[in-house]
Amino acid sequence: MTPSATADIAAAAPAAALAAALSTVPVSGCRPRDDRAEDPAADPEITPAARPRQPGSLRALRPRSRSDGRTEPGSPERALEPLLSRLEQRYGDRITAHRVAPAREAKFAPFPEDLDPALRSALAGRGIESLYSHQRAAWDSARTSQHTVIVTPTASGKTLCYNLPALQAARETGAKSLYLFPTKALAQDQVAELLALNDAGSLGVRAFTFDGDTPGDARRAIRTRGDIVVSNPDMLHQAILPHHTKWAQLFESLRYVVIDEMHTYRGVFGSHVANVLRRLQRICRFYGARPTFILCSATIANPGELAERLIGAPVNAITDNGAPAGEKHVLLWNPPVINADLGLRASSRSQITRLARIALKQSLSTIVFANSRLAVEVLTKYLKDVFDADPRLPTRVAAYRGGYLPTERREIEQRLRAGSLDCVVSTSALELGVDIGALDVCLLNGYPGTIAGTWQRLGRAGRRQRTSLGVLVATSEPLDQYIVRNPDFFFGASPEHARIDPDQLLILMEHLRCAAFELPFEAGESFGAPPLEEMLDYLAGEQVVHREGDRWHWIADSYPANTVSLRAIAEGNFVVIDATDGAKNVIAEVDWSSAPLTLYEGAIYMVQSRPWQVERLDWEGRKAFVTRTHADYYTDAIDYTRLKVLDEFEQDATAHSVAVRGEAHIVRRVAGYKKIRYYTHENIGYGEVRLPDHEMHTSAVWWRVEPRALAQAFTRRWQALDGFLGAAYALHHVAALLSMAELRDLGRAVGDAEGRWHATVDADGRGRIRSSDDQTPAARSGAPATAQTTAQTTADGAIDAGFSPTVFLYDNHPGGVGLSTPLFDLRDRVVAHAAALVRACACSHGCPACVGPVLKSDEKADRDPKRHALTVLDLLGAAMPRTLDAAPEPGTLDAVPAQARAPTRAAR
Amino acid sequence: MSVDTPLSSRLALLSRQSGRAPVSVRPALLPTAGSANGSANIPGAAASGPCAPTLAERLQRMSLRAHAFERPTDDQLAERLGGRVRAPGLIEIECRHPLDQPHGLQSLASLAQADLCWLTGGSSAAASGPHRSRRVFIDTETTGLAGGTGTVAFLVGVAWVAGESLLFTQWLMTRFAAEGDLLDALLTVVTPQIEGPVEWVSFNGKSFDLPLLATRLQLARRPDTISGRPHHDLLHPTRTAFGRHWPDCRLQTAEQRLLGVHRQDDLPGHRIPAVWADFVQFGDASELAALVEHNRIDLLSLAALLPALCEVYLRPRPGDPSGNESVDVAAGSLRTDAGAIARMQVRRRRPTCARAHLTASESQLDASALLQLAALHRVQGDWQNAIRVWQGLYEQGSLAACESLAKYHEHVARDLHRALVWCDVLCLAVPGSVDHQRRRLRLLGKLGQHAGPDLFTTAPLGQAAPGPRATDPAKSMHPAEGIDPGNGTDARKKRPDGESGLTPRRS
Repeated sequence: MTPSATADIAAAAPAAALAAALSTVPVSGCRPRDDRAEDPAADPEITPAARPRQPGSLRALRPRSRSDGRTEPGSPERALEPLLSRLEQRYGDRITAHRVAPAREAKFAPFPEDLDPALRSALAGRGIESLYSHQRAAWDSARTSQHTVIVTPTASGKTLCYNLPALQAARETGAKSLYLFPTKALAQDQVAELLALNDAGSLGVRAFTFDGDTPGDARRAIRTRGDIVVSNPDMLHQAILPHHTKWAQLFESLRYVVIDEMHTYRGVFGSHVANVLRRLQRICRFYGARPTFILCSATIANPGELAERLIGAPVNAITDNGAPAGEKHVLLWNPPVINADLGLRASSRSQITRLARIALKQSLSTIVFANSRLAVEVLTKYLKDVFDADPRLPTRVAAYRGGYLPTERREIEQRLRAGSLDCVVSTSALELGVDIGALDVCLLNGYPGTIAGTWQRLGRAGRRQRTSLGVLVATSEPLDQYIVRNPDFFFGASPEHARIDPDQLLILMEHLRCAAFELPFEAGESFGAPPLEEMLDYLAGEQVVHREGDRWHWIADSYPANTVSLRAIAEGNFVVIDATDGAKNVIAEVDWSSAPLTLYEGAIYMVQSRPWQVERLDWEGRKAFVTRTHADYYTDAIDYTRLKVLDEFEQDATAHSVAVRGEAHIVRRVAGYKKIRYYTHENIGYGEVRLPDHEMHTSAVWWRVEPRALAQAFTRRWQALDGFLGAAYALHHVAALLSMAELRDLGRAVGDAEGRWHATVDADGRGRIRSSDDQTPAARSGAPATAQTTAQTTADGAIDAGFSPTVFLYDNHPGGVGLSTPLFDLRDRVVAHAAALVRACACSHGCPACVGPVLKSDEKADRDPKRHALTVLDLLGAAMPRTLDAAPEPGTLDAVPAQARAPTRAAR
Repeated sequence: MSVDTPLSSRLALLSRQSGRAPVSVRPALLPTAGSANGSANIPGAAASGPCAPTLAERLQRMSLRAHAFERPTDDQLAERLGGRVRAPGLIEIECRHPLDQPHGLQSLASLAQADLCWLTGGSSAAASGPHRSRRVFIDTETTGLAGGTGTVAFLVGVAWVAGESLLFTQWLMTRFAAEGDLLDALLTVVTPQIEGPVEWVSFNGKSFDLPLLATRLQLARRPDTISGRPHHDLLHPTRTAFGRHWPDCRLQTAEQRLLGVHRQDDLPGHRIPAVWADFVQFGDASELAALVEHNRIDLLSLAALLPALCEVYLRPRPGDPSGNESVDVAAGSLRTDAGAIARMQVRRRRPTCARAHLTASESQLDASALLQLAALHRVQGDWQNAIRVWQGLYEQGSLAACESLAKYHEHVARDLHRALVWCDVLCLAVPGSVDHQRRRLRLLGKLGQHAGPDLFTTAPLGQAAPGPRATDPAKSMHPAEGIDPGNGTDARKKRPDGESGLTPRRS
């Protein structure tokens, strides 16, 4: 591996090489500065509000015209230099690190000897005279029928890696190829590119998209005549494989299967897709085809491993990227402290808004990533208030997220490519390879949750060999604070492993049904790790298959693929219907799992930061009726989680506590919502929500403290509760970091193991106990117990044997996707690091960066969540008492050997 | 999840709790951690809700059923069904139905000669040429209606006219392994014979039976020689003729209403997959005979439907004005959708036939069918009837009829004054229409040449022209009444001359 530090830094280079290549720039800034930074037109401190925009003054504010300025080479550098120096001059104390990845030269390789001359001239027609080294390596690998995975960033020409072999195969032997993209939009992008290449060389290769929008009469032509069929895993699963006889011509001569954006196939989705590919390969065998798989992935730690698990065969990994890249600056940015006692910092939103304003005023095209749809809408509103105040001008700022209608998303993408949009605020939806052209600045509102995701988002700026800037602005979340305070950890960290579990029993069985429907199973076949015969006998018990001799035939009157969704366990999207003035227009779609959090009656639902209010939610009909409103607030759901242990698989007792891994039943409920005023973020009211519970059965790791030790450590229950809630907060974040899961893949809860009660943090930031039967708070901590509250569920009571609070960290997917086992193996390090995180935090009584938000009034009330959390964490880790000094340094996380102590399996 | 639990128990537990099982099984019924640790070793068994049988219960039930029946051998079954064992696991049943014996109220005598050109659109000469093709009626019974590769046709029935009778052949699989032999047997039907190439006749076979059989052939690695042949799917003409008046267009409905057949002790169609699955899995052959009989009657009804539909399409019958849907078939007053039939005949380029259908049930036609009828009259040059229909339509408020009348008077009758009256009606009814205004201006221009420019004061476009010419239609919207009191025979027989009626003139 060459020490090529890259704009797409983490792309091909392992983290160590990357860290070595990144030259550290002192925060004070000793790099030569450009005097043009003092250009008054670029003064970031003049707010547009103070200088109202007039149509006539547009030119003065924005030196480049919108349409042509983008393509001028060199101009971004000129604009970036003053921006960087200004940022360092004014905000040096907020920048905790500034690293530069130098530009990287392209590595070329000649066209292969056997490349079809027509293809060669088609490439020449597109201005391509030689290949990048990784494109050539992919060609050589795929042409020799080796399954191949190519790890490259976006805009490195990865499409040629698979288009060339597929086109050549189609022209040489009429062989066919199947392309799979995770989304319809990406598929359409790629077909457009394929067709452009096809036209450039008059190749006569027929490429079609096949998805849910394909009209019925076109489908037959695609099935029989398509040389390259571009589809998605869902269509393969529900429409192609169950009707494979109609696709016989495709399968009989299938040469390549291309799987782009492979890194998106992880977790539940990835486990499903791996099973769909098992089915695909089974069908291919039936038709006597052995296609070669070509996979493309953004940077993850284990591309080869993921590819091999996905397709169940050895894969040749190509990780050396030959594409050029421009210079890239990365800043880590911590908002200033505004209340030292509480550890309160200015909000990341205010910093992002400021940075975006500075960038936009210098005519730097900017992409802002936020971690939730709500944050996208709020940020968009703040930026639109500044830049799109004049309705006579075309908009400069747009929001982009899942849930928008496809036409709206296509329009935004098109405007970004054309350069007629200056700023887009997006969720992870734009992380994928949707072509949006080159952007100059990328701002991250908070750590995206994974190292790989962070680099992928930062990679959105600086495509096409231009100098670019990426800024990671920390929120007050513990992970964010950890990262901006430990830049070496961030810049040195390996990107995450993408984990899938194709043998997750529920997922496997669903696809076994589908596979049995597609072709009878025969003895000697295998499908996943568990013994096939045992699984088929189970299906025979359900009377869906019938064994006859050595064959199992599908016998049920059903179409199993229709009941299996690859994306989620959920049952279909909600549509949001604008019923203003009696109209009925669909304005958005919301997936099933997030509907309770966004579409409850009374919620403010935003599209492009225009607010609608939800009037009525038709839960059964999956519809939400909204009307236009002019609220000066937005709403945020209050949800909580109840958990009950079902089974214990293994446990490990320490001196005062026990850690357990097992199965749990989880109920999530949205209890109400807060109304939050714009800008001030003050809480101006509450509403109730009545929606069905969201239930889930999954695996979890939990810790409980021996009652005697608990009684020694705490005198009152509320103290212990504060401690457990704070400890859960810290444990959750540390566990996500250490197990390389995304924060949302893990859930946390505090309660007793029987599901009799659970603890929540109420709107005042205080722990309270909720009994599971009665949804009203049984007792509010600090308040006198009412007559109804029993001693069992009173937070104010004393510690006794019946009081056994437990911290749960659970796999946040039904059935679990295998996160609990690595977490259990890491249990000691998780506890130790959580204790170190809390102990090292500069706050006095706790803050969002360690044990969660704490209110100012708590100090007076003699509450000290931080101290109690530390007590709990020390009890949990008591087997190996650690002091702060003994806690491992962040940089050495991976050097700590795995725990030697073998867990004892629970008696069964 | 623990690996020492048996797979079936783990699965039963998991699927019940992940919400994949019936909703009635609430996770609240699950054992707590304590009981899971202590007493209940098989969580699935302990967690059984009252509504969903556990795997163990199901297995027990299955083994009970398995012992309750003694699976008949192929020979025993063949004997019971009146057939023979054609190949291991495949029973072939043949029987005949004399053509002189009606099915319900429908005679089958004309079956061999029934002319299908009303359906195919071909000329009738081709159908009776020397190389007549052989019509084969086909119907399958399957393990489900879902389609796709997981649906098996376990019983295939075919029938064709042989001599003086209808010959049925049915092939029934008694196990999956016999599918190849069943398909081979089916393929013999289409192998070239002296009797000519095969044309399929089916009910919904175009979208279901034949594609399914093609899939089965592909899976069994047989050549697909059954697809791509002429295929008359009687569902479509049935739907065209009766779709508006019947609750559904299933074969059973058609045979009750069209053929007067009422089956006794018939096996309901929705139970068919379960009957065969029970036989294959547990040896329960008790209902197989009923299943085979069901298929045979389906084929017979399909055959009888052919002459019945020919009657409907080729011999227009006046509809039953009462609209009573439970009419006696024998009375010959079965209500059809003449408009839809006529549209189909027009598509098949048989306007005469279409006109006959519409004329026969003119009193029940809706506006669009009447317009079609008038258009057919017009095409045939029958202006009298066309005008009659248009005027009737106009009285119901049809502007299209109004426009047709305006055109007729302008271009055919060349009575510009009347044309102008009709045109004014249109302009008043559709104020913004450019076409109507243009026509009106053109008419005014033509009239000006004949009658002099001073005859008319030009009214602003879109507004009522002065004088009774405009106010009359505006008030009543029935200009025909006011203008042409002889709105009957006289006006239609002779070319309207402008003097005989009350067409307003200012002279």
